[in-house]
Amino acid sequence: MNPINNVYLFSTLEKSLEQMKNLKLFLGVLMFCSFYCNSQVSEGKILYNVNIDIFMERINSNNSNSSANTLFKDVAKAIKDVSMTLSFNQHLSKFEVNKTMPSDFSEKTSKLALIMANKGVYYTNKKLGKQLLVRTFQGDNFNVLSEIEERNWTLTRESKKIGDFTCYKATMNKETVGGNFPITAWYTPQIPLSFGPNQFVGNLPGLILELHDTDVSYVCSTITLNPKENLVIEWPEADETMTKEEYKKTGDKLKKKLTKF
Amino acid sequence: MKKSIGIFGAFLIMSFRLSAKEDNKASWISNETMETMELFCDARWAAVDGYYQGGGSDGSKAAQIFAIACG
Repeated sequence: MNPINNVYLFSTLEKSLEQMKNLKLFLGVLMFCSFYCNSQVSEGKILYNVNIDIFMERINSNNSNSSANTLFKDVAKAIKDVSMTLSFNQHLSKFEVNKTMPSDFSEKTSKLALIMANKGVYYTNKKLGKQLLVRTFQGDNFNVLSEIEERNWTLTRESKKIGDFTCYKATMNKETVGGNFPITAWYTPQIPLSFGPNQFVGNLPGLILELHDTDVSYVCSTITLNPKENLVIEWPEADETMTKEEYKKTGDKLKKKLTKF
Repeated sequence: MKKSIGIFGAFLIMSFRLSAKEDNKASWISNETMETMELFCDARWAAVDGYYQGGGSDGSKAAQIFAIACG
């Protein structure tokens, strides 16, 4: 072998080894950071207040039917009495409504407020990459099992403080029957666990403390991290489940039936 | 699977119920009874329409809003 080639080969090898060392160092720092951050928060509970302010702005600007305006105006007031809880540990989370009915409103308004705020109980298992929605409708339990959905969030540098946490804004759009609407999430990398309200889990590099979905907003009001008493989150053993597609089909059929009148 | 079929059946039954209410529209026009007027309360449709216009996208929420909007 040509000695010049040998020198070239050794110098390339040396460079590669150096690059590998740097890469190892980088991965080491990343793993340390990840371990350090995660070891700081192992479990917690977030209490969210609920509002439909953005939804109401759209209804008002659309000059929708006045009876709907009146109805949702009352619901907007009642929904402020509704709160949701997100309990989480390293791998599991549970998002559910707190069992308090809005007071000082008619039964119909209170029920509508709960319906708007609450889709059902969402369980997330990050190890399995699955979500389970347990929903009761007309006395039946629906157990909708799905993969954690990939979402095309646009991460921005815009930030704000929520409590002691610096949160960053992430946005995405959703196409719905009424048009294309934005969804905004404020997440904190200081709690590097990718949980949040409803199906908004698994995509952002931190816990969502504020979420403006197309119809409902969830705004964090209380944060409890590493509580003294251990949180117990159990993945429910649902005997029979349906897929998201099956669930959507049944919903779509009903929706078509409703809008046919 | 059986449960899924059962749930689907429940949805169908609800749909049929809704159809029945649609059929009652004729009797509402002829009889004008308070009972059937309640079944055809316009607020139901306005509420569902308003829900979608406001940005709502959940068919089951819309169905529940429909079910109790006139209650």
